[in-house]
Amino acid sequence: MLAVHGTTYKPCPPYAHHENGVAERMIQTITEKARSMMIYSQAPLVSWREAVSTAVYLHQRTPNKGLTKRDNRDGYQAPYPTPYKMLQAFGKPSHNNDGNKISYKAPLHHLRRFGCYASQLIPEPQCHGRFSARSKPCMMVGYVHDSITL
Amino acid sequence: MCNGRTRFNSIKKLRQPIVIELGDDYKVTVSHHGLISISQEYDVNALYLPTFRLSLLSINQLDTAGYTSTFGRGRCSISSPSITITGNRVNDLYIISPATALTSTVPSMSTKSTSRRRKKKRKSASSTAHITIPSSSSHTTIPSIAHFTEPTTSPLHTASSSAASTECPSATKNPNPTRKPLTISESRLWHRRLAHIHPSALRSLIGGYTEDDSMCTACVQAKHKQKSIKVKTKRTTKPFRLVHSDVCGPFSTPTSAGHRYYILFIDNYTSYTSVWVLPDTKSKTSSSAYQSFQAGVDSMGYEVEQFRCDSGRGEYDNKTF
Repeated sequence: MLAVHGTTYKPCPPYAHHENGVAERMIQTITEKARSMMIYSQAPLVSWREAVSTAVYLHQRTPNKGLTKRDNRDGYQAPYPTPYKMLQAFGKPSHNNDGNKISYKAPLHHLRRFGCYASQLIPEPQCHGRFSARSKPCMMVGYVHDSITL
Repeated sequence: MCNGRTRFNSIKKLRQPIVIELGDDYKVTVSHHGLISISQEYDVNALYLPTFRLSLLSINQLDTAGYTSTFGRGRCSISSPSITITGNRVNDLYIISPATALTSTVPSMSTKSTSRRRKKKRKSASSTAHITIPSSSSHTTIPSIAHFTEPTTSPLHTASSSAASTECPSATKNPNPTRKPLTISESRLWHRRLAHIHPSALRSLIGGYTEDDSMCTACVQAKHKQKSIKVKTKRTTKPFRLVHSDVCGPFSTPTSAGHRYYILFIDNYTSYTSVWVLPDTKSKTSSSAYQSFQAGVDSMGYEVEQFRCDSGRGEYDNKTF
């Protein structure tokens, strides 16, 4: 399957996990993020899938000191770039035709605390009668692109 | 029956504890037994009774081993062709001392090796041990028993010095540690005694410690560690030129959909990470996750050039990949 896409396959020998150190370290980072969020929000353990996805989503938007050296573009050293910005900005001009800087920053206005209270609007046809509840209480468990899943 | 732990050459736990009934209806439970060397030729099997004030020697066992025991005129003598042990009657007990036994075997001793002689000397120094026999056998329910005592009340030696001398010979040899340098074999012995301690710690503990340049094989085998790996791989310069991947799990709590693992794909350049949850680590599930990851990469206009993973049997090391 890898050969079809022209990808070189580089497996590590057994008992040599350090050769895959980047992946092992990332697992630690993601799991720590997910664990902290779940503990703080007292989310049930079955929701680890959402916590892990949210952790990855937030990791893309987290400044990463290690990325600084890899950023070749001039004047782009500080603040530390996020993986999201690096990917979006790669190979693209930093200024537009008018000479203004183009921002490749990820929007953060929609971020909420993992597990916070949310209320979901019940569509009107599904409401039972005029005095029934119009929304139901929910928990915010993650993001799909730039929207929020409940 | 012996009360001194240090007297035993080897000690084992009994499969089933034995209950000994004494003359005054007192019961003692024995849980350990071991071998005690009476002479150089013969080791006697004995029960370990730490609560006993005296050690007892079974005439039965001596008889089995070929010793002849005679009692009379306030004296006893236990003899075999090579050795004679004599003892005197004190109150109701015959008390024997191995020291007397040694003097009778001095001619044969001179031909023995030095290490053996040292052992004997130590024994004679440490214990004027006594074999005793109750003259009225109703005192105990076990017949033909002599007492073999640790000389706790002996006027010649105190109990502490005798115990120390049997346990650690060089301690008594070197009571003031700074006095005399130890030989290399003694230094090695201290290294082993203190659970294979580091020489620098040993030096601060024991004065006169002699440096031992040779390597302790047990230390090497027991304390071998892998050197930490500090090699850092070079970072790539283009997104998705090198992608790392690993599977995490299984987790004890599956999600509501029954997923127990997650797979991570990490771009080396941007550390842009993608995650997929997996129900298992079979080749089909992991490769479908990879396919959707690759579809995402393609849609961004990049392609994966190198793929780095561990050699997980199910998830990566298979024909689909």
